[in-house]
Amino acid sequence: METILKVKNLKKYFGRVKAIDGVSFEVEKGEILGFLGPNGAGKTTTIRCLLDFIRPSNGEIEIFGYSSRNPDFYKSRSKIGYLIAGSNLVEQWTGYDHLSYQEALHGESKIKNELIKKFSFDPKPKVKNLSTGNRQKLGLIMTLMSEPEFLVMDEPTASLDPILQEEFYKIIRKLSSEGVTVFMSSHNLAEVEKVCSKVAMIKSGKLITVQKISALEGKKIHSVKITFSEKVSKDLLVDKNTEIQEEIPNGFELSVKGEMDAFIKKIAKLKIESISIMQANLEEIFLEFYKK
Amino acid sequence: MIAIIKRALRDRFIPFISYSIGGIVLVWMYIALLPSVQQSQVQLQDVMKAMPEGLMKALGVSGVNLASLEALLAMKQYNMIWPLLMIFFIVSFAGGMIAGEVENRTIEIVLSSAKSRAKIFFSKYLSGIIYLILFVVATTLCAIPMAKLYGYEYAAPNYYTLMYLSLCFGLAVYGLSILFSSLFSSRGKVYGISGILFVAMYVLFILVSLKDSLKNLQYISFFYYYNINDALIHNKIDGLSVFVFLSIGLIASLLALIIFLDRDFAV
Repeated sequence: METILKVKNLKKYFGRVKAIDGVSFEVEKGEILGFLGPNGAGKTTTIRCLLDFIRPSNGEIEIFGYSSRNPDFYKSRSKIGYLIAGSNLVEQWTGYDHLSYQEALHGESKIKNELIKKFSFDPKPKVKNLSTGNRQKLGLIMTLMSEPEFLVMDEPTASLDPILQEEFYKIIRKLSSEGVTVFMSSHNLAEVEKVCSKVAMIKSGKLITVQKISALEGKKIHSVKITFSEKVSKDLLVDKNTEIQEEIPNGFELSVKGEMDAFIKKIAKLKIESISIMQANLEEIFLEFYKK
Repeated sequence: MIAIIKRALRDRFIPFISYSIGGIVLVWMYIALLPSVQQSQVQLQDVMKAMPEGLMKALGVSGVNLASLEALLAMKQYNMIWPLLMIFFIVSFAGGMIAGEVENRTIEIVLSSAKSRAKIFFSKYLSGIIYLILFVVATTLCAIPMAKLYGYEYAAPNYYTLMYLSLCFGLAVYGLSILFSSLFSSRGKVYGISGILFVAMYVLFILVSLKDSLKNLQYISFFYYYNINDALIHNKIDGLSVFVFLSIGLIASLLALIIFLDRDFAV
């Protein structure tokens, strides 16, 4: 598999603030990597480093073999489509102005009109007269019109309505199947679960995990709601894999990490009144990571 | 590169046209006023005699025959109004070009293309130079056809000398403005710092003209080197002025490039 993006021990400090602190990960050709994290985690800073808007304090980025340490790093952007946020478009320009300028910078587009039609976008009004959703549409058209091999997007579906979000997911999946690599940041777990093949989680500038979505889903965390017909001390249940979430009448709500076998054997000795066991969804797995 | 230059020129066409027309209209107004100025020359000379010699020098009217078109334009237009017009235009242009785009993040559009930072800088820089040259040429040489139109006597070579001096002055102002624009991330800061700098230079120039004890400070003001009387009335240009203006313009532009190549574009 060809590696499109390699991030090695990336650090970006703003004075004493460590916006990114030793982040390393790779993205293979055709993958859709969801870059997840809360506000201020370092997602946008990482993206800005990828595009060379800001310079790393340390570490290295390699995109299509071009290293951020070399002066020809900018050439990597000939294959990158970066999603400009709707608020970062020029208010006085029309949609056409943006699209023409994009063509002047990236070369003539064969699919510009097709994209305009697909997104039902009117390029005649000035950007200052466009709604937030329409600005986002314009940004997406600008990103996709040069048919890039690598898409970098910071919260791409923010301010798109659900129908357009679905249209966007379809486009991204189709592009990925054609070999286009995607790096997208998001707060939205459901979105990442739906569209991404891999997820990287970042918190306070440090990468917590990089996993295939399928592997993450396989992380065994179970929510167990159990009541007993006898008085049971919580100390009997708690161990390194089992935590009490809440005490309920005659029982507990627990989260159990890892295999259930040991837990089942432990409670088998007790007088159980009722029990329900549910596998955690991606959101709970995500929150579990952030607790660390 | 051409695309970036074209876009920058297009975006700032209206301010360019407005400032240029403003400069031309003022010249036209003073040219139209020449007959009445000539008629009231005796009274004007009396008023001027009553003014301090230093201030007269600062205003560029010391020992000048106000009856000539060149003297009138030097005193009324090119001594103060034109430099202010040029500074406003150039500072607003340069401030919007980098700092302004960083401030509203529209610089991401060009930075996300496969163009090197050096190319982006030079494209933006060149667009400023193009408008600076056009502005200077339009607002200095416009006096020649107008004088011809009104049938006044004029010394054409003097206007070319004025144009060269003004262009050098403009390049120094542009160099410093683009340096501030490259350094800061908000156009307000560029306008503020440039404004303070150029106003301080002008005030210093006036103070030095009035107070002999401050004479050594005159060399740090651009307005000392921008000797309009010599250029427009006597058709002379001081080599030191050209050297100072071009050196400052060049050094400031190089510093702006170095900063642009290495800075973070984030607010």
